[in-house]
Amino acid sequence: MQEEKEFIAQLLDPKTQNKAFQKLLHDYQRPLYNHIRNIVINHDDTDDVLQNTFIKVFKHLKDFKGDSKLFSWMYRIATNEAITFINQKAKKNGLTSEELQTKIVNNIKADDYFDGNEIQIKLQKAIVALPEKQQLVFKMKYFEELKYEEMSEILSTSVGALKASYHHAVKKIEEYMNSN
Amino acid sequence: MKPFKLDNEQKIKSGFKIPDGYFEKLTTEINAKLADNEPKVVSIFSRKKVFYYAVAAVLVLALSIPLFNYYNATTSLSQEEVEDYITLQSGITEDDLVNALDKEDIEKLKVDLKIEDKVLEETLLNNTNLEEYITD
Repeated sequence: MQEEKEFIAQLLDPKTQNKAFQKLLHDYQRPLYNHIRNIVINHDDTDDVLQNTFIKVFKHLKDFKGDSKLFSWMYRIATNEAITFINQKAKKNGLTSEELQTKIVNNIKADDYFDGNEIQIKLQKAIVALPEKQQLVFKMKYFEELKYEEMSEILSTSVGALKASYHHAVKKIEEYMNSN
Repeated sequence: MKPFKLDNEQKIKSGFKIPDGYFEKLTTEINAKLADNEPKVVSIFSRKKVFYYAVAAVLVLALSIPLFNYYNATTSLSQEEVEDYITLQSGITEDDLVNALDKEDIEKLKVDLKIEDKVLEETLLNNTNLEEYITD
C-alpha cells in the first residue's frame, strides 16, 4: 500500500510523471486489453476503448482519492468505458446492447482476430445468452482469473453476491453446452 | 457422451488473438495523444477563450449602443429644433398646425401693437391703398 502511495505520488509529480505513466501503461495494458476485449469482443473496438481508458486514467489521476486500489480504479474505468461503448454502438445500429452482442458473437468466426474452435465458439454463444451482470462476472472469473475480492472492489458488489452470480452463470452455461 | 461440466473440462480459452506488435503501437499512440492533448490544448484553449471574450465584449458594446441612445435621448426640445422639424417635415399641413392650436395659443399669437393715433392718421393719409385692410 505504501509502495502504491509512492507510485501515485510519482504519477502526480510533473518531474516523474512520464516515467511512472510508462510503467503504468506497461503493467496494465495486457490485463486491461483482455478485460475490455472480453466485453466488446472485436479487436478494433477494444483498441479504441483501451486508448480512451488510459487517457481518462491519465487525466483523472489528480482526482484519484486512494480510497480503492489503483488496480481496481483502472478496471472500473475500463469496465464503464467498455459498457458505454457497447451501449452507444447498439444505439447507433438501432439495436439493444444484448442484440448487438449476440450479433457479434454469431459472426465471430469471420473475425480475423479470433481463432477459436467449435467449443470456444459455443462457449461465447452460451455466455452472450446470460444476463449482463452474470456475463461480466463469468468473464472476469473464468477468463481473466481475477479473485473475488478484486472483483468485489471493481464492481462494488459483495463477494457473496459475486459467487452466487458465478454459480448461476456456470449452471446456465453447462445447460446450454449440453442442449445445443 | 458425458455431460458437459465446466470444471471437468480443460480450461477453455477465449480464442481472441492480438495483432503482432499491437502493444508497442498502442504505447506510441497513447503517448502521442497525451502529448497532443496536454500543454497545447491549454494554450489553444486559452487563446480561444480570449477570442471568445473579445467577441462577447464587442457584441455587448455594439448591442448597448441603441440602449445608450434610448436612455440618453433628450426629452426637452429647443424651440429651434421644433421649428426646423415643422418646416422640414412636408407631411405637416397648415390645417394640422391650426388644429394643434388651442384658444390660449391663439391669444398668445396676437400681437398687441400700440400705435399712436397720430402715426396711424399720418400713415392712412399717406397710403391710400391701405383702405382695403381696414374695412373689417
